[in-house]
Amino acid sequence: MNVTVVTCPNSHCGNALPQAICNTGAMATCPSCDTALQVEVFPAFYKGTVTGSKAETIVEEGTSSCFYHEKKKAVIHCDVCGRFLCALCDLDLGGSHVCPSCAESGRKKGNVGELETSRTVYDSAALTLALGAFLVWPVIILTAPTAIYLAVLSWRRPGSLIPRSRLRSYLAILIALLQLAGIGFFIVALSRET
Amino acid sequence: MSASPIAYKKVPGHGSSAVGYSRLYVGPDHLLLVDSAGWNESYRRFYFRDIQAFTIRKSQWGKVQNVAWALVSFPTAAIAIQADDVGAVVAWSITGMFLAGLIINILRGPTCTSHIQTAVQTTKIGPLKRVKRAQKFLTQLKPLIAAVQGTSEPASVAANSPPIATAPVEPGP
Repeated sequence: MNVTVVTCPNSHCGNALPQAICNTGAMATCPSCDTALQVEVFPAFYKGTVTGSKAETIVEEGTSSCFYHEKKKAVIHCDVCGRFLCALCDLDLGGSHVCPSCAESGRKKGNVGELETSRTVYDSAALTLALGAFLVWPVIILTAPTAIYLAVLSWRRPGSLIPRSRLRSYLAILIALLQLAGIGFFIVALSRET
Repeated sequence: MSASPIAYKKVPGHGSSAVGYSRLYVGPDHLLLVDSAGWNESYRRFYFRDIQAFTIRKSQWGKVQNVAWALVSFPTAAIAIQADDVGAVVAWSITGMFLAGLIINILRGPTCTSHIQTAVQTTKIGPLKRVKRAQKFLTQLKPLIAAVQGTSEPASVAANSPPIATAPVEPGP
């Protein structure tokens, strides 16, 4: 889908907005539904859809060819593996040029930040597990060691894309250790009674 | 391929849903919308070069919240007036909390929904829920986009652009 109009964000309206109410720097009113809104339109709107580059066919002998398309002219090399690439295979990732193969392997390994759409944050998982265990306390004996494991795992695995401290993992370990100590105390007290 | 972590600056405010919350960050060349749900984070990037439009739509949710705060304040205030000693103190305290909520909500200003439009999607930006905050963010965003896309003076773009209202919409797949 190519969006080529700025429409009213009111879900009951959705009509195209006139240019007069755009880029005014203040709230205006949608002529169709009277919703108060502010619209800022940027130059990218007027440029339309950018089409990809077209790979050139080799016409002269001795010209370097693309690793993936031997009949296409190489225009650049992959910054990771060094293979020659045609315009079609050249992927621009944050200023770096990579081939589809390296981009795919980077995506799978999670070392291409630009391609990552989700991450598991183990420190949050550890803290959630440690705190959530209070709601279902009989399972603490299972959740506390798991929370510690996840907290330690979070130090080795890539965490959130947003750099943050290890506070969550330390808290999770502390809470889990206290829970385990509580269980130990409970068991000792119970055995003494019996 | 970037191996080093990108420096992000957090935009104040957060959106919430039934399963988590969302936050907005400004990176060197893009905005990052982070949706957190328990132990999973999903990311959406809006590169400055791709952002076509930013819309702020004033909503009525703030007024609804004001009415709700006022409505819950009345019964406790009524109880406080009739109660004695400890009961009055407790009831006035609760009323005070509700009224504080009302005042804070009024001070934060009217609510809104914000959207970012690119060539392929229009996305609601959950963290920008107040008009004041959204307008402040837009003021910060404009120079960042202008640095990549150039200025968007209506006179300069109008010369080689179709009117917004009459531009054709391609049918969806």
